Amino acid sequence: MSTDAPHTTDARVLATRRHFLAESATGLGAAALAWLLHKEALAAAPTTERHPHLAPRATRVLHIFSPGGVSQVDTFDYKPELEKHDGQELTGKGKLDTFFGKPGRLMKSVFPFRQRGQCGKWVSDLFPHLGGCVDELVFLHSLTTKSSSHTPACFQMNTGFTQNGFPSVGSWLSYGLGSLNDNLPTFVVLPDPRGLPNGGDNNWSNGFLPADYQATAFRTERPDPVPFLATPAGIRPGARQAASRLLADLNRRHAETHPGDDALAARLQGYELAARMQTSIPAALDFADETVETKRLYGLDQPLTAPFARNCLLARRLLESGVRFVQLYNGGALGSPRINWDAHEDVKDNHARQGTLLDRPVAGLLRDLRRRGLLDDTLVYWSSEFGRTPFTQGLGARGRDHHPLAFTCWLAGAGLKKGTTFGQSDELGYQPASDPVTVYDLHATVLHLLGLDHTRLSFYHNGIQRRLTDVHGHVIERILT
Amino acid sequence: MRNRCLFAILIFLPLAVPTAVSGNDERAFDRTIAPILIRHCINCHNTSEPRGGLDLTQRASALKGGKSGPALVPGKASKSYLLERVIAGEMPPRKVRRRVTSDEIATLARWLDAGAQWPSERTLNNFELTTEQRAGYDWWSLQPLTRPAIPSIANAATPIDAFILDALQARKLRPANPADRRTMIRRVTFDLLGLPPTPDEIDAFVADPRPAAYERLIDRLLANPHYGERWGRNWLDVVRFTESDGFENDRLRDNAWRYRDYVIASLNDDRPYQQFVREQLAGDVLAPATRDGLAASGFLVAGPYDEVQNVGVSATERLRSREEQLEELLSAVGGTFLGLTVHCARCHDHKFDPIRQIDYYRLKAVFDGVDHGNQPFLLPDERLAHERRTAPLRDRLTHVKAELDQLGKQTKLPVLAEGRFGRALDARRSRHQEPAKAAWRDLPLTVECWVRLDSKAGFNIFVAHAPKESADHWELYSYAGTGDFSVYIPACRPAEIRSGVDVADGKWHYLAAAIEEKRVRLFVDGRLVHDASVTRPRAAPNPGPLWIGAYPPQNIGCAGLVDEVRISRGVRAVERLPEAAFPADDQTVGIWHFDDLPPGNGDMKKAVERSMALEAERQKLEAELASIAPPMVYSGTRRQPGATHVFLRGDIKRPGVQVTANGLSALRMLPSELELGPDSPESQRRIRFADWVAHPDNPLTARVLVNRIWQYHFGQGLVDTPSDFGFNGGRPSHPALLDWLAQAFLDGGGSVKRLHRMILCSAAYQQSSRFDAGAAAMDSDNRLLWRFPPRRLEGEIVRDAMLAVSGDLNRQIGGPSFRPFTVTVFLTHFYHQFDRGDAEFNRRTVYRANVNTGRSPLLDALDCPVPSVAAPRRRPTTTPLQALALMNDTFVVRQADRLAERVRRVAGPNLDTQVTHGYRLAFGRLPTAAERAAARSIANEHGLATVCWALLNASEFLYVH
Repeated sequence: MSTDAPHTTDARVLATRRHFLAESATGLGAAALAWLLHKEALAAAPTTERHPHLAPRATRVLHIFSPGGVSQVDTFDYKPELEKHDGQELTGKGKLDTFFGKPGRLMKSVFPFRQRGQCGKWVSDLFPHLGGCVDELVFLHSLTTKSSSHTPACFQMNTGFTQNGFPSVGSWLSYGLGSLNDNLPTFVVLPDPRGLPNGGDNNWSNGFLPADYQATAFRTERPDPVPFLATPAGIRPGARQAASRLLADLNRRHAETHPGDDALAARLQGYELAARMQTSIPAALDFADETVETKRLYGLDQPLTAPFARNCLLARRLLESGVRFVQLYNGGALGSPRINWDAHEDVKDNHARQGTLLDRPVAGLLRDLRRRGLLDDTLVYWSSEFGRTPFTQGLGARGRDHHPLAFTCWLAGAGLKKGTTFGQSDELGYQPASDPVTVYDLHATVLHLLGLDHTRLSFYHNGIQRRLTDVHGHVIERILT
Repeated sequence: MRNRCLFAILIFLPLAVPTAVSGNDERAFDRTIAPILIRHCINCHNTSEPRGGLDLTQRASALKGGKSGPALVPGKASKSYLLERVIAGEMPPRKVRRRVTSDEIATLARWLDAGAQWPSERTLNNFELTTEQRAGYDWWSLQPLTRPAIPSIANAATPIDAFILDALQARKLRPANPADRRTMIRRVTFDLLGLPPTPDEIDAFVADPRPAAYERLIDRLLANPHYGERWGRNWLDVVRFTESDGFENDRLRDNAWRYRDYVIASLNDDRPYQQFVREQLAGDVLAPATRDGLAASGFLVAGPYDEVQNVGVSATERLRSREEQLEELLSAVGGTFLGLTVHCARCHDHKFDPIRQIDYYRLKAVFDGVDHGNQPFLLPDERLAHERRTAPLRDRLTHVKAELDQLGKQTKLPVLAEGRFGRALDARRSRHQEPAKAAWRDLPLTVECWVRLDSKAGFNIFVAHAPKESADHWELYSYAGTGDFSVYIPACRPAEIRSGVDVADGKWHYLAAAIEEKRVRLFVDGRLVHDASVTRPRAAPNPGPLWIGAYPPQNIGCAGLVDEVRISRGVRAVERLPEAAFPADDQTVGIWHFDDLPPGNGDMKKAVERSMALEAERQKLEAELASIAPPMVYSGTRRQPGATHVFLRGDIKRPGVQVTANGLSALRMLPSELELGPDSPESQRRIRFADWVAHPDNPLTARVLVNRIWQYHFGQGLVDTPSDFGFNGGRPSHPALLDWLAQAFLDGGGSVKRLHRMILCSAAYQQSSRFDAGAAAMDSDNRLLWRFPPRRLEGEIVRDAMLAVSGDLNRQIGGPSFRPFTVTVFLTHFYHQFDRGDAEFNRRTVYRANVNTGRSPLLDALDCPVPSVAAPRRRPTTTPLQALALMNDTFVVRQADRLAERVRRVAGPNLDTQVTHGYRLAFGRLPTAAERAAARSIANEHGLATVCWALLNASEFLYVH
């Protein structure tokens, strides 16, 4: 952070931004720029290539989020020792402080593991399709997070902080990099068709960042997936067109009689962009031009997987059309019956259900991104908010409790040493054994791959230059090519 | 060797240095040496963190030195290690940008040579002086208020203008000409009321010949109760007022609105600011007790609350969450009233402002007894009276419940109550379990029952067969939040079959489910309500009992009565409302009437009869208590706190010294000591702290407030970080004006309305907003106010203004918030919004229930902040999503329709007159001939509402100039 005494905070934000722009000569959305540089000429907005803080490896990001807490030892983190100690008490790790306070006995994976792909990565039979993609993936097995409670942990995975009100990763990226297109939102969230996650839309809040960087949620299970997109029923197209012309005239004259107020000019552009979105978003949602083979690849032909598969295919279409950040939810809120990975009662039953939904659609998505060349400049990462205990929740039980100490996530795409694993959990999958990784590190790495230095991407809010990574985070250099 | 080099450097040092320190001149030490050591050295070399073992805050420790030996050798600069490291450029460390100048080195050298005089009592403090890296006690905002002289400027209309013109003239800039009256009435009406002036009001003001017409207008507007709504919303932004918990559950706060009403009423009544401050911090304990004070203390719990963490089982998580809670509160207290980021000192001394970590914990001790929650909205004597009145009822209820529990334990039998036919299972207090039976697994099956449910807050289980892990599991239940009658069969796809019919309405319903291999049908009161095709991909039986009125493995019960359960083989006719208890027939494989008192001896029978009588009494008592329940207020609860300790590095597992409640030591003109012992009563802590904040000698309180008011009038404050007057915040653009205003505000008894009047009567406020490229080139942010800054209306005001011009605005002031949503609870509270045009929903936006996850997308798009986070300054944006919202939100479209109706009603059938009237309502002016012609042609072809939609979307409607 600069130690200059600023005359005004805006001046500092702007100075930072100007510096940033000078460094990068990059494009931002016209409206974003209007706010950032408000008194500078709007026409000066550069709209072409960019070079942010560092050379970017990826230009867009997909986060696949499986809320509820995916068990690492039943999915991607193979633990032969756990099998040996099945049914025994976990000792020698200090006091077991679990969320529900009822540690039971160690329980081996409820699914058999086998080696997959060229790299020979062990993946459980829960993921026959994803298992076939391991050569594309980088696994982190030593990820840790702060809270063992769902919502704070979800907030941390999404915003870096366990509290309400902080901007999400997608908002930070929108703020740092701006838009790649001029007819779609920059940051799109696809909630699970079964329902919103706990914490609702706070999970994709722009927090204290200006509304320019807010997410647009597409609720594909609804007839009207994006609010306000459709002209309300009862308004004839001709009437709306006439009204829009009248409005444009009014606004143009108003802007002309009030020169120097860029927001007025930005409003004219905003309406034009809105009109374009009214055709481009329905176009993105219309799969008519997708082949039967592609739809089958994602599992759209299966009634069970179709709703989530539809979102996966939509995610690819949005990324392809220049959406900067897509977040794909594979799970909804807590409660009963379970519609996420929160397997307190029975891991096998719960994970079998959720795994079926995740496996084929996401494997199909990865394969589709690869064959279209999109993985070359797209970063994909999958995570839950935490893992699950290697022991049962309670004696004689079949469920596992929340586990923030060591869990697994994977990444794929641009700039990564694919087919590798970084960071190990201990022999039972309880604590990190080597190279512990924090959520801050994960976020720092995501920003790094996008060409942003996580220590420099900041925004002043209530006394502090806030960052996605708070005052922490190290780029995980060893997984980068 | 090294000393010779040092000597060589020393002799080349500049000779023209400031007066050397000599003798015992303490003031000379303070003037010349102390600043150097403070600026460059003691941030690292201090008593609490002596880097390298070296503490340079006192003479003795400096002489003693650190791990590398003595730092100073009095009388011998050339032998002093400190100076050697400094000259070598090794200290401060190279990464520190601010270097020691050669003048400073020379000063140090002369001081050392002259004997390194350092008054023995003098201990340096890194907060003493502001440096390039941080603020000290001498920081501008921490200094006493001054009484600046008003610059003598010719033609300055008011003292404010003298300050403004003074700064403009210094940059050779001129203010804009006065705005015309039409512009002024629109500007000031939106500014004070958040509503547009009516065409009649505009005409009257434009034509008013009296010289004081504008002053009269201001007085009229300040007396209008809509003023409190408009400015109350501003205050609610600052204090992060939320009407739901946020976090995981986001529970709705039914009684939080009383704080909002308090704020609105206080502004309308022009309550002196000192009183406003004191009431929000301690209104519940100030004498004499008032309802206002009780509502005001809602400030303390206006922020978010993590219910899950506070009731969780992990003690560590509870404690951690409590600390987060208090940090949130201290952040609100510090930011709102003092403009200080106190919360940044939780883990260490503040990195930028002179706030010690111990200050944070002293402040924490002030508020350590504050918890979230509701309390009765009663004065102490009323509370006592209510308690006296209800005491016998509550006592009796306690006894009844205890006896019921006792009986329940004795009998271990279902508790019965008056049922649909005969008696019924009272599932609120008991459940029924039957051993497994093969017939309940074989499909097809028909399950029937009668239920009467009191609540849909949670799930209600009617009949559940086998554990959920089993392929044989099926259950009939109602859905949490909605009361939907549903069936759950995990072996089926879909597993969850919801009827969409709310059966949790306090009435008896006859429910039936016909479960077949590939089909599940649901019936309510003899009517088919849902017919689902299902598949059965898996089958792994895992036998278990049958439960009625509960699913014990997940501890889910049922808030009501269950009666007449029948399980039948095959699909049976259930399309008729039974008029009597089910008979058992040859299809029946299980039937429960819950009529018979259990078999057994006479004692058992007596116990059950007794429990039924008690149950009836319990219900009667609870109904009676509910009928006389007092109104509640979300002001939190209070308790006497235990010892407050500093937490080292903010770590709850590392308590340090114990502290008592105090003010902040950063304000040197006010004693921070509140003279409270460690056991002082909770109430006294907050009262004394409130007095400390509201003390006229506290310079921050008035400065921060006048700056806020200025900001809302001009779009930005004299300090542009309104809740941060510290080192990281902005510097005042007009420091003297800020102090003059603060002083005038105090002299005026803390009257906010008087302050408004002063500002609004300035020429600076009344100038036009015309753009001046030359001035913009010099002062692009218009900090010097060379014109009035045009602004887009805030989201709430956009909505209110649309309602006002359409004629639909419901002007009811105060009362419970309107809730344009339904709520379902799936642990998290989910808010499902609807848009309706009834009067209830046409109130001003400040009355919309301010829930975290139930925010309006239209208001979001117009930059309304997340309610639980302080938003002392909004960031207006212009986005395509905002355009989409204004184009297509059904609310906006409806207001356009309503405006068209209103115009037709008032203006009659002539289209020209209609267009003219529409322009007058929306823009406060007449259309030009060209505008009228264009609008008329569109209205002619597509209807007047089409034109009105364009008016409501127009920049001219949405902006104030």
